[in-house]
Amino acid sequence: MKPRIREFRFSLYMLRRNKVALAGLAIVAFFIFIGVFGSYIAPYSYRSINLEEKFKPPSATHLFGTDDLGRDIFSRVLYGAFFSLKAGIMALLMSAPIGCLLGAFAGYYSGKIGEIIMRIVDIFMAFPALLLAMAIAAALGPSLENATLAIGLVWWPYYVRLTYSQALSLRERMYVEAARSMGASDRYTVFRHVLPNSFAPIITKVTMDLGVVIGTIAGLSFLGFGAQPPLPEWGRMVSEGRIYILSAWWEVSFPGIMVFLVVLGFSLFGDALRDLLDPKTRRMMEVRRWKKTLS
Amino acid sequence: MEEDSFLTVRDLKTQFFTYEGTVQALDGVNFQVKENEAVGLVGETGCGKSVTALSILRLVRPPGYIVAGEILYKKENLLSKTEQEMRTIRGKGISMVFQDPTNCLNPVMKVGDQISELFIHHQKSSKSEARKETLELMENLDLPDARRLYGQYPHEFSGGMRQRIMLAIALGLRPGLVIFDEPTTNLDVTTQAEILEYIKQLEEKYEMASIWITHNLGIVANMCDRVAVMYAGSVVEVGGVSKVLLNPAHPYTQMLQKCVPRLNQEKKRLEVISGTVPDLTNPPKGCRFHPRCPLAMEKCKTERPGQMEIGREHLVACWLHGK
Amino acid sequence: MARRIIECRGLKKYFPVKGLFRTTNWIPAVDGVDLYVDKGESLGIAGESGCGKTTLARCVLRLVRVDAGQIYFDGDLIGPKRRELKTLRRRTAIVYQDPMSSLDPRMTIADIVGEPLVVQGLSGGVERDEKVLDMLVKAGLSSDHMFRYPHEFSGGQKQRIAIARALVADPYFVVLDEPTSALDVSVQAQILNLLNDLKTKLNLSYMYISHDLSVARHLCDRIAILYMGKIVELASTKTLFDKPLHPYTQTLFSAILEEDPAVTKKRIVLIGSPPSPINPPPCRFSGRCWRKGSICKEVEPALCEVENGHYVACHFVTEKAP
Repeated sequence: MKPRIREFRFSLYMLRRNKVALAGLAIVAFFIFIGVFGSYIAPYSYRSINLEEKFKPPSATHLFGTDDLGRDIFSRVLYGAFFSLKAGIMALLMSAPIGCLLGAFAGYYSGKIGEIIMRIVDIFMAFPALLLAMAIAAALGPSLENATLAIGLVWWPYYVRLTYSQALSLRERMYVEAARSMGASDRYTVFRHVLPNSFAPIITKVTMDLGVVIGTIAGLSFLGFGAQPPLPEWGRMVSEGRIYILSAWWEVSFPGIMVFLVVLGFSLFGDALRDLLDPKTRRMMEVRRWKKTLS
Repeated sequence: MEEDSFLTVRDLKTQFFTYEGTVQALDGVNFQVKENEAVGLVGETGCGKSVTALSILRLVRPPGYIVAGEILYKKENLLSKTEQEMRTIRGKGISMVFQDPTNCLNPVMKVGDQISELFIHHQKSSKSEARKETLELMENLDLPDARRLYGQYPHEFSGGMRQRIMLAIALGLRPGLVIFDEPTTNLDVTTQAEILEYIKQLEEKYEMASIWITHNLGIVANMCDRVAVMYAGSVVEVGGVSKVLLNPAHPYTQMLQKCVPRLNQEKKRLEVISGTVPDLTNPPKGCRFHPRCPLAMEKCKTERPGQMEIGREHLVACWLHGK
Repeated sequence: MARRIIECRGLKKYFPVKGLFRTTNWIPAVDGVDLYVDKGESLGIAGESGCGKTTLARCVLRLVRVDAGQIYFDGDLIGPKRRELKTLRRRTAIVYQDPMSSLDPRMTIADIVGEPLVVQGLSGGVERDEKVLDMLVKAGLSSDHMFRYPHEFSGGQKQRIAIARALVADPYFVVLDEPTSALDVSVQAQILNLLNDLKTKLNLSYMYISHDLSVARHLCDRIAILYMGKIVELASTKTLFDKPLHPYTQTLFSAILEEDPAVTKKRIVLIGSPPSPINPPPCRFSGRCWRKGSICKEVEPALCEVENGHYVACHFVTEKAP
């Protein structure tokens, strides 16, 4: 069996055995599914107001009940998935690539350039990300787009740090010097050798970050700095439904549970991914498997 | 012949159960060590010599398991002992010196304390008693300036000095058998010569048997009385050092001799063993060397040769010398 | 007339010893080395760990900053500027000691071996694949191996891949940094034969770094013995093995283990320990030498030609031998 395929099948095998990881993967898969197809599944539009139907508890026609304006909460939750997913991806798309590039070059060159970049990163990281994002969102005017932008502007330092330390250690590898001995430029070496070999921790971080970013955007929206009505963003929905928690608990609970589940799911899956990609933990799993077979 | 044997390894089989398959690392290893004798265990990467040492000390960890065989130490089978019993044997009855002293010494602990641990563990000495014994040991072993050395840390020493400290730990309780696992591979030629000289002096001072695991025939020629040559998990030739090195009987030993560049050889083309070491999850049938052996016969492909006696205490596992 | 492919004069490379905030001292890893390699010749650099041979290899190819000295490649002075380095990079290559870390684990063999062609802009696409295959075959591998990954190969095969990569762009000069130290004896023999064959077939010049003199004998025409950053003896291989003159060289030879148990060698015991590299005495070896005199502590012995082509740096070996 070709070793590449065998490695992949072993990864699948490891995934199967880790129940917690599977739960995480299930949640993530489910979330992405409703994020993409939610608008087609939803029985109602997210903005269709029907004042006669307001505050109805969960029933056959309204799976999650209706809110204070008679809108179907189930549909709103499904649409919300789409908005959260889009916002999360956009924010990471803005911050991760730039952060990684910056970190990789800073680590590869070290010396003065590297020091300057890392000091700027340190300054940024001195402020709590959430506060900084709030300030930016407030200054730009509260909206989902601005909240996303704010997170994007605030998240990149973490990626710089990650790739910086990767580049620092990879720089010493023989194959990097071999590339130089052929006459490769620094730019080529970083793109061809340093970055590809840093993928494992980057991918793990991106996966876990997606959950965290979605949760943070929900948090910003909850505080009023993000999505504005009538957008069915989950954080916003929780904030709107707060006052009715005793009389119409369904308005607050369902979006809240969704946020919780999504963040949890990405965290679990990211954890599993990290174990999967780390060669040492892989070997431990091999051992466990055969121990079971022998006994 | 077996009566005066100190350690007898008989038909030892150790396997590693991995996702790729079962690695048959040791497939029936047979050799003996007599009292005060130095036996070399020679072979290339993957032949199983290190695994043999670990098996003797029962240090093989999962996914590796010793699946068959006997290891008779002072007439008792080590494979039937409990872990508790093994712990009293390790360090006291049989000890081991490893290849890389840097990895085996704790960098944040004083060197003297690490040697003292021996006495604290095995003899239940108090800290001060152990310290006294350690200083005495260090002086007996000609370690210079023992008192000062005691309080230093491993990183303050050169590679050769660290190996001497490892030797002190290995020999501290005067074990009957010491296993040397490539102790000089990471050292310079001149340092290696010094350490080997040093060990020779120690061997004269204390009576102990030793097993020398190495791929360097020069070390075997200088330090050992007998030598066992291993290939792909079993011993293919064993006998007195002069006999095996000057008159090798097994094709593998012969070719190994020829492909080593010598000091006194004129520059010419080196002989080469074609092919590569077999994959031990799927070893060749019959004699494991047959795919690379220029003298292979039909029989070699199907039947595995046992050890046959061809001279006084000279055994070979090869059909060329048997029926 | 033999063209001098590589010539170095007065090469020096220092490593800083850092105090708390600033550099307090300098360690000369390479301390004034002169050498040359002729076209088609193989020069061996032998010495023990810490003598500076690996640093020397990197200095010659300007892979690290050189603190003093000149380097000439094919007659031209090569400075640190990028433009001057172009020819050097184009026509030289290096093979490293550890086959595991010298190949990028995420690249296929075809990409690894073809990288010099791509980086230098020499060929791409199909032409690149053809050249790569040609080189792999010359190195003893086959087309099945083209699209596999490094971890699927043994140590010996990885070194063959590294050698193929070094030779694919037709270099004139190859630096080999202990390429067989990490390999088994039987594999080492294969690789040494391969290197010899390729040298003749492709008319290459080698600089072969090694700590093992017997291996150096099989590959090199001349050998230089390095001790603490300086060349202490330089001679043709035959002369060096017949008549080592410098005390350190003699010590090295005596320390090598004879593989015949019947032969007992008289081993030279070195007294003392190596001097501190920060402020060494003029003759670096004087602390451990049995021949030393007062002059060794004051004047540095120069590398003199004692007889034809045989250079020694020792005060007690200056006369021409009879």
